[in-house]
Amino acid sequence: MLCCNKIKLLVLVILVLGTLCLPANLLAAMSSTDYYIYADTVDTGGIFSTGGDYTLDSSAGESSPVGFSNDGTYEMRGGYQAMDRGYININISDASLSLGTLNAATVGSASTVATISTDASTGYVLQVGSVSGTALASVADGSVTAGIEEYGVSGAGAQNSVIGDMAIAPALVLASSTVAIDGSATTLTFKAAMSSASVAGSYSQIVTLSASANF
Amino acid sequence: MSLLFTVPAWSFSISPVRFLITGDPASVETVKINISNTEVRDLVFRPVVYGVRQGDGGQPVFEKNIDVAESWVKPEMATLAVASGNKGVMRFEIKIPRGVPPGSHYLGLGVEPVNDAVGNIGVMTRALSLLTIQVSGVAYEVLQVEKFEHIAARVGEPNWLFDLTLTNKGNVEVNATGDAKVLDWRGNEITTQPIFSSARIISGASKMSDFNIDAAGRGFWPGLYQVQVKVGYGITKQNVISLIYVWYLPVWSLVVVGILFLIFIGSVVFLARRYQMKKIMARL
Repeated sequence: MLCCNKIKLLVLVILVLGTLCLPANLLAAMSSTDYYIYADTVDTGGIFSTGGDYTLDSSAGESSPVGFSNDGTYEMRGGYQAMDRGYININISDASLSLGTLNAATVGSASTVATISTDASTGYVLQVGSVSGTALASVADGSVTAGIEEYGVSGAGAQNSVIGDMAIAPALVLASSTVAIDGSATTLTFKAAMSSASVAGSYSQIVTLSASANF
Repeated sequence: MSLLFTVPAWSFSISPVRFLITGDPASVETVKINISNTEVRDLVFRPVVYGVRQGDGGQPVFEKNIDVAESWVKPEMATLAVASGNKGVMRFEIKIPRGVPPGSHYLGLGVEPVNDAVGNIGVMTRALSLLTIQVSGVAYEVLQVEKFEHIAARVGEPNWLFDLTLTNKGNVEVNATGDAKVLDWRGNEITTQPIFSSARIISGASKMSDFNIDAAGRGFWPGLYQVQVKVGYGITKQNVISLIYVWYLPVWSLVVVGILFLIFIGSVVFLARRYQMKKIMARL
């Protein structure tokens, strides 16, 4: 019985001393219905760690919470990893597009909808990230016209940035916003036309759409 | 002839959208990107690292092999499977080499789903987070006016168009706010108007900004004017100023001048003839 009490006392002392020894500014990544601490710091060390419901991303050698703050004259970027706790979501509606078998009398077209949501205060930009594969000659006159070999994309939507039919090339801005936005939908219509002189065959492309926040 | 391509229905989110890391040469940092799979099926993501430049519209443009810092970043895993409705974490280790000069580097870190559409051609999606790596040391903010020109279709054009290009020659990014001031030939201010506000210009990037001043709408009188562009920038609160002269001679003023000239010529001829007549009359 006496031994048991001693152990209890020892545990209590360790707990009390352990609590007192903790740095006053120890922070932990955690959340509740009222708040969310995304990233945090501890002065005496840092590491990525996980445990059950929580992940802790900590750093060493700093005492202030991460984040931006300013008073109009100065801007403080606290922490070694200052960040905008924001998100960007990209959604492409259609799994498959086919322009079918082309002929010289018509323009083949197919559409998909790219929807972007972000809470970034600077908005977003959706652009062509990369292009590979084979395709017809790129449209150069702003309009894909039947009887002329041309291939391009047009856009529609409140944040659409494509004017007329444009050649599909890296860095082509498809849509953008300068403010946070939810569910910004842009319909992208891929168009192709052939001439009587076009080389017969099967053409295909891989187009990568890239979404990010604006600077 | 057929053209077919596949657009896999990708839907996912990443967070955060922007990082800023300040590190010493020969230091190592780690950043993570949280991925949320909002697609109805499981997705496999692969990490991507790009350099970033600033496009003509000020937007980020992601390209390979444009920033030496691309080689500093190593993803900690080649792929990451995230089940539908679940979240995952992609980590990137950043090793800043020894001896790197101070300044900012701009990268895009992100993920893209691995295209599993076998035999198809696809449109892939990619989401990127903007990463600024500030190598510690002396930072300097220098913004220069690369070009400031009056684009004049004709001398009397009532709508003045200007072509302004600014270049960030410093080693860190700056926020800039610009306005244009119109002064008369004596230097008195007539009007001022904003051109842009809080525009972010990254190190080495140029910002092109065309703007116009409606001289007719503002009721300017014909004459010589000075147009001064003043851009305030950076944490150091510096200004860069550029000035050009603009002749404003609208059509109506040329007509008036023409009429006055004709009246003057007519008056001279009339007076000369009258003088001649008086001389002749005097001789008689």
